[in-house]
Amino acid sequence: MSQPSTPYRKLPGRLRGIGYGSSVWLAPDHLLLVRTRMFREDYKRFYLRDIQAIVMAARPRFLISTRSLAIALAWLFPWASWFLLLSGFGVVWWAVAAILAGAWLVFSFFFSCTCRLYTAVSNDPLPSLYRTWTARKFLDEVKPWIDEVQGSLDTNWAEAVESHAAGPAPASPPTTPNAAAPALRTHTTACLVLVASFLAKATLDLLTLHSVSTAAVWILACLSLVQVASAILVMVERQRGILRAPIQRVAIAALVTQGLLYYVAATSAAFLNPGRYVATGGFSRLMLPQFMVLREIAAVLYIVLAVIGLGIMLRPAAGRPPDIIEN
Amino acid sequence: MPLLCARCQMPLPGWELARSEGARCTSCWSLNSVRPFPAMFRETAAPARPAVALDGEAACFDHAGKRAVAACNQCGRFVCDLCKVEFAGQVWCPSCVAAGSGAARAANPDSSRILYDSISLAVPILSLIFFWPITTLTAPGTLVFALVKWKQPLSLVRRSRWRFVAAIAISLAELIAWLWLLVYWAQRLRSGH
Repeated sequence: MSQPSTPYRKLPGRLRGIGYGSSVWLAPDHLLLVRTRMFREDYKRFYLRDIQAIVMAARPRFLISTRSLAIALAWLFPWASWFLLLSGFGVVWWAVAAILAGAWLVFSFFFSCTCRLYTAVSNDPLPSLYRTWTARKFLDEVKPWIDEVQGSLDTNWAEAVESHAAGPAPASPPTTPNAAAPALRTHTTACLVLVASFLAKATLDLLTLHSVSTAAVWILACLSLVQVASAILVMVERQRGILRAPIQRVAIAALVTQGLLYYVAATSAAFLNPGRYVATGGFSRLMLPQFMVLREIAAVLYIVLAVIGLGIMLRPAAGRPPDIIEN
Repeated sequence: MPLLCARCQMPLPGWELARSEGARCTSCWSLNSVRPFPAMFRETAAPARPAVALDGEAACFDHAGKRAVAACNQCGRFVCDLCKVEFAGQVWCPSCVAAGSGAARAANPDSSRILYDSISLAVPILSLIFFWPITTLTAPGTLVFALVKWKQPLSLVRRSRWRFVAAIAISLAELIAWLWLLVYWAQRLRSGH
């Protein structure tokens, strides 16, 4: 027997990845969470009368959507015919690329979030809401519909929050991190080494732009290895519960940046020197005179990462005001 | 229990919530914006506890020690307070609901669907991009698949069949291209070039 069709209206936010996706749709009496995996859609309904709360947590998220991939491919298209284009195009092209990559990094770092929807029996993430402005738009659009079904909330709701549970009751009550878990550290030696390697690499890159010696090549290679090792160590320390989360993002960004630079250099070398001998090592390629712009971009990226890393390390730890601490 | 952080699921500090609609998690340091609704403060009724069946009283089919309060409208089994499922003005037992017969199936909404229209669109395009000779097989295959699955339910939220139409058009174009190529080769062979 076929179901009567329900009219659905698309709500703000859509996650589009390669082979997966998610979106939220509004029906007269419920929200429909749609998760797509390859050629299958899974649905979950949240009836408006049952929704207890929607919580949005700001956090960095480095999602590569199909839209950003399409932009990257469009950006790569002129690169493929690099040698046919006018001289000087390369600088503009790299500048636009750096702006695009920078914009993506800024959005991913500072304007991203995780949203969860709480009912009495469930606590589900809403993957389609991963940018803060989309999440706010979503909340503004959904709130009147839920208010219409449930009525509006008392302005002093926050006082009642402590005595009421949102979401399903856990099997055992969670312990507050202040009481049980030790405070997470803002930085360790690995973090300091990582940030120092960013700064050292950026400085050496800028200093040796016009004259590259073999020693500089070796030092840069060693610094890259130090960077990779310290980034891995930072991630291990985070997994062991020693470090706070944000510095791990910096470590991941460092690894991604290094990988991208390596492959961009390798591919560019093949394009710029067709049929000719190209130095085999990735680091040696970066020393080719044609890669001055790439090295400048790399230096800027490492300086940005170092500044972010320092900002995270110098951030004060979270804590309650001493006069309000309970027991 | 207070509200939980959307990122790490640790409780949010209530004193911060009392000040504004946002609270910084003390575990992951994320700033949480909270939109609560009245359902959060609604008292939930405790689940009904079935009464113990005394001697001579009808007992539940699934719980022999519990007093029956109704009979299933589908199969006639006696059910206790715990097993009683009220549905469309009738009382059903859990077995009948699980079997999903009749009206129960209609009330049971879809929880997933296979997107046949996306499959039929992806196959001819991907085979053309990654290994074009295989289109000799995928083009007629897609054509048949699209026609067979035409009436299958689509996505709950996508109402149009344009993917099926596009898949059929692409498959037909690939088939025409192959036919043209075969005719061209045949003519070249005949002319001896």
